[in-house]
Amino acid sequence: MKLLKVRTLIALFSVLLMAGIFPASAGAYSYGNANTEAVAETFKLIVSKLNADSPDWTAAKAAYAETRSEIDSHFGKDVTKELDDAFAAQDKDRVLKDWKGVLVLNLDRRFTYAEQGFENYSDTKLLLAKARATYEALKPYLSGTPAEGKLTELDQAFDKALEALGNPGLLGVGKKDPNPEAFKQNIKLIYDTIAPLFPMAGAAAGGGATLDPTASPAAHAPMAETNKTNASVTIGAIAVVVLLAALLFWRMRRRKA
Amino acid sequence: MNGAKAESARAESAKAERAKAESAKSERLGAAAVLTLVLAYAAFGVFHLSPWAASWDEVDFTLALDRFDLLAMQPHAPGYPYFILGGRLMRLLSGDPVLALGGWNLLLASSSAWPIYRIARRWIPPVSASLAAAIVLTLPMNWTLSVRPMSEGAALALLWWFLWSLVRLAERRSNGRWLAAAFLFGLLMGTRLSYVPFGIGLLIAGIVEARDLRRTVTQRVLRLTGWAASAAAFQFFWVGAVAAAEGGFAETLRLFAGFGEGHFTEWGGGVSQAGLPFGERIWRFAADNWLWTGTFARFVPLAVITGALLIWTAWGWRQRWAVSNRPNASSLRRLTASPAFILAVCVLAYALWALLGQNIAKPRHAAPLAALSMFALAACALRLRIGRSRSAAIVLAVLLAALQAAEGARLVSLQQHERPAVYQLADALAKDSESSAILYTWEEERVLRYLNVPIQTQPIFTYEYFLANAAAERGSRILLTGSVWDEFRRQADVPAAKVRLLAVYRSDSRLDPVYGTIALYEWKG
Repeated sequence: MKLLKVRTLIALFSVLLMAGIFPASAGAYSYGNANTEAVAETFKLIVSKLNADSPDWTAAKAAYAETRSEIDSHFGKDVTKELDDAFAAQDKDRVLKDWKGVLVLNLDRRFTYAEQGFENYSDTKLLLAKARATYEALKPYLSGTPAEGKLTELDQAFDKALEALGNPGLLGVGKKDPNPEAFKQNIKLIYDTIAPLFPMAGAAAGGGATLDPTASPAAHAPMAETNKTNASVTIGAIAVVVLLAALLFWRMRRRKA
Repeated sequence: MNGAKAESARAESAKAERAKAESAKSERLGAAAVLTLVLAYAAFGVFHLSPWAASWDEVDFTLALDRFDLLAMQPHAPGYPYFILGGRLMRLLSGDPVLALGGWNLLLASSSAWPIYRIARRWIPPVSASLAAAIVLTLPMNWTLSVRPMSEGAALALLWWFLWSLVRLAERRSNGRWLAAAFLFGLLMGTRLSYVPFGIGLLIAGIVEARDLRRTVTQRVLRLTGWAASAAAFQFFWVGAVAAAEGGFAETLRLFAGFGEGHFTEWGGGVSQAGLPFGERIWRFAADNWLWTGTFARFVPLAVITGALLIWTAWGWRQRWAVSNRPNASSLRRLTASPAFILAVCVLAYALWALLGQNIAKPRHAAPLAALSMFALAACALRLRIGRSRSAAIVLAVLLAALQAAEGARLVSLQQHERPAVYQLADALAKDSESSAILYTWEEERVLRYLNVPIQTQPIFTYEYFLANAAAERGSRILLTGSVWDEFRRQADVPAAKVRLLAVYRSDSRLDPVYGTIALYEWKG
């Protein structure tokens, strides 16, 4: 009787643990959330820190330092050099102008790889979502530019591009075929509308780049993310569950003996 | 001597015959009562389906009927594939995706009267069992769930079917019964993953089987391996379907993980998180989410009559316990393998999970608890056997069912007719729009986009970033919703004079606990 109770408690506890810990350890991932794009998030942070009456340069520089290597490897040394100089000069307008340029480069990077790997549905979808997150970060700065009246059109172009990816369907229900031409047209429309508006201050690199898959400078695989998986948490969770299972098994064996 | 014996035997058998006929008749009566309940429930529901997709989750599900895409959060992870497929099926009847999802919920909810009845029949006679089913189905808040596009409606119904299969499994552990239970658990998980703690019922059945000394060790190992494999297969089927729809297993799992992170750490904000002390959290969960809102729908007469029934039942059982034998070790051992025990453990597991792991701002997470506790109360009350206490219990239970049905029907009808606050906000934005206005919102943004409001809407999380944007958008009219403004004031010392209140939109907070009241402000800078 007592044994049964203990065993039930252990079972109950392990189920709760499994249900509770896995989502928690999953917190180590940042990849799955389509609404975040590291470069765009950094931009938002820098903008927030520099906008105040007394700009917080320390925080802005720290945010930049976090993504510097990613920018460096994807967009080239010229870009990071320009950013380094702008930060060193503590010139707010120049930093923001450069960062908007970086966002445009990032849009180009995401679009380019999306177009290249168009056959891979889930990758392309993710790249498009990241491009969209980049665009959302630029959106406030479209006011007062020629693109101001085109926001709805741009939003719809993103929707149409997503639609053009097709859909494998859920158990075959709702299957749609991809349309690469429509996809190309829509991302071109978005890029061509936005890119000319945000040249980098230094005009050193990337400024005025056209959407050309073959001319991409990146040496990285399109999905090369900074992987923040906290392996120890996951391994710990698995170890605890295995331990509980072993305890359960051992108690059963002992009971039989 | 012999003749007398034969005579008494004949009388015995005639008596048994009569009793059998009697019980068959009452069984038919009970089944007829349940059938009537199902038809009435379905008929009322068809005319009271909620036409609104007024919350983030509801929009997710509604959009998923047109395009299934976890990355775009339509629906959000883990995909709810059976719910979406059911909605797509119902779409053959109604073109409107919101009504289709509500209709699917209604179909399943109506059908769940049968498993509730069958479970109740384990302890109470047929007509009483149909009364118990009526009490469970007319719980006002759960009733509203069964006609709106939330996965809870379908999941609650499938939960009852699953629990019935668990009870049957506890009574006889055959391979067929295990397969039925494992299959239904697959359906349940593919409809609403957050009901996973109920799977502990399967685990208990497996443990009891493992300890069954009537079979050899090899037999048990073989059986349990097969059982585990079949249960896993039924789960992999829906996960596989979602993965195929999303384009790959690895990507899908990463999405699940990413969603889990956001869901458990930042979803909903407000009261849901660590800010609430644990004691207060328990109080709010038990007193408000489970009882006051979840069970009584904040309707005092319901609380009163349920309380009366509870007290009466407790009193009746005390008397019964006084006359019957005290529980001893062997009766307790039998109890632990009994269906009632398995149900109780399932409920406890879910209660703990809902308390610790779910957003406490949303009472619908306590819906299974409300349903199962009212079921338990009805079963205990109608099981009383001692003459007068039984009649009083029946009278109270009938009263409860009638009162609940009246209040539930009123709430369901209100849900259909009352324009949700967020719809009112969308109407106002559509009417009075300068095309250059920008609305900063929180979760309402999902619904506003779905409703195609003609102005730009932007979700915002930090005051600092908002200020930066506002500086860039100097030429535009900037609007804020109340949830955003409240959060800004938590983050920074913002003087109230920075904004001007334009309007407050309200709808019943039982039907939308988080966004039932939405204030609209204009930013003056």
